[in-house]
Amino acid sequence: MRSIYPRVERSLFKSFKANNKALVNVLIITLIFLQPLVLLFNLLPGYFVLQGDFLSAPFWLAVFLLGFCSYCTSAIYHHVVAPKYYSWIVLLAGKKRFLIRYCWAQFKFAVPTWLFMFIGFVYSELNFKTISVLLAVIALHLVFYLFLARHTLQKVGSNKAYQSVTGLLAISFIKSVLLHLLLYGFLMMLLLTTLAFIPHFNTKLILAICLGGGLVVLLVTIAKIMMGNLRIHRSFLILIHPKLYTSVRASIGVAVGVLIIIPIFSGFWLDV
Amino acid sequence: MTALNLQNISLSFSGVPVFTGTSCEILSGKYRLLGANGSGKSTLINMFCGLVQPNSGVVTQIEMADLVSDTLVIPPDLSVFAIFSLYDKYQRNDKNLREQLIADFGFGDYLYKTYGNLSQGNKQKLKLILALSGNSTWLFLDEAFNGLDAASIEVLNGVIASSTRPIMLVDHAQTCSFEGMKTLRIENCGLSILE
Repeated sequence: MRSIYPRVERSLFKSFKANNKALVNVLIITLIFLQPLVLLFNLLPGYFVLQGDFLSAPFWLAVFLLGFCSYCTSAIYHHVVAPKYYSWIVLLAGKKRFLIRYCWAQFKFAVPTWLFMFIGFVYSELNFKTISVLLAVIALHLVFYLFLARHTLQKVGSNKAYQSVTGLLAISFIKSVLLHLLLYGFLMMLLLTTLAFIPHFNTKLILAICLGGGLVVLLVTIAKIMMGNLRIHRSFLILIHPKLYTSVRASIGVAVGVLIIIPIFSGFWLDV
Repeated sequence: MTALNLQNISLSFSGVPVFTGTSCEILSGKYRLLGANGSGKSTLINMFCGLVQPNSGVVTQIEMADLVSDTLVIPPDLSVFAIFSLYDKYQRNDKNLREQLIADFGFGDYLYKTYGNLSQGNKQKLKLILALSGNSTWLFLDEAFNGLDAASIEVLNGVIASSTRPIMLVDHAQTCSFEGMKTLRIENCGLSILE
């Protein structure tokens, strides 16, 4: 019998995967595109951090990259493994077990960061300084996760008060499309960076196609999610005003339509 | 048995005070918690269970308390059987008492269903079975009669009357028929024990 935390975590991952098939596919594509980039940069972030040269610019750039990577994985984990079951876990298994399991789960989920760090060892000399830096990074992460776990536990059950329906809709839309925005944005950045390094191509054309195509796919996906989200609030909106639902839906449609046209015109602007 | 202590507790949500410098000692016993809607009854219970922390002051918090409340959300895809197995893993239930409660509440047919597929009343019954057969010192029942049918209400009243554990109960509809309860009242951001 699994412990309660991994059991709940697995169930949440399963339901997230079932509800976000497109997102999971994009994640797989992103991971595939990540590989050439990683090879291009020779996995240097881990190397520079492990060197521990606090006065050099590459060290701080590497710290920023690893920090960003770590923050992204933590935010994604927090988004997927929703805290609504935490009260039950704490009452059943106790706070200590919860904190340990939460920190361990977050630590495991930060695989990309650890991968960058550990592959940096290949290029670094294994000495006291390298090991100290690595241990400091791990300790820093664990302290952050512990803080996050305690903070999340305190916030369970307290909902944000929205002063207007527009605010509620805006936040619920932003929350639901945030992961898509992050992942698509990251994928497009990877595509552009990778393609920019490929010689013998009309770079401008590739850039325009990538930008336009990526933006259209992103906007269509976001529009689909927003429409789905709007359907959830349909009866509530209709009860406020019969035409509110249709007008919000039409506004989203128009906004997405306009935003889709922009990349096409930007293609003309780039003279492609 | 553990007494519950509040020492100079202050707590507010979004600037609205719930408790301001409240102190009280609640000795072991059976208590009915009264107060207007939004006065902080569930918050007080959650505070004793360690699910809410006061802004200042000291409160007795029961680690792994037995609680029936709407704030407890159980993953919908777990089967009832799996939930029982989890409670057994952490040795949280008296198995014999649980079997007895399953029979008394007429819950035997639902053991292999998932939590999400249970009706509102059966979800409440499951939470009750888990809490009533628990081995924590205190038993906290926050609107525990909600959604129960007449037969189950009778069973729950019987369990409350015969239980030797200290109990704190929130029961707005006054469905609980046990009369030997002391009263706790939350009023004007404070807590008092009524004789």
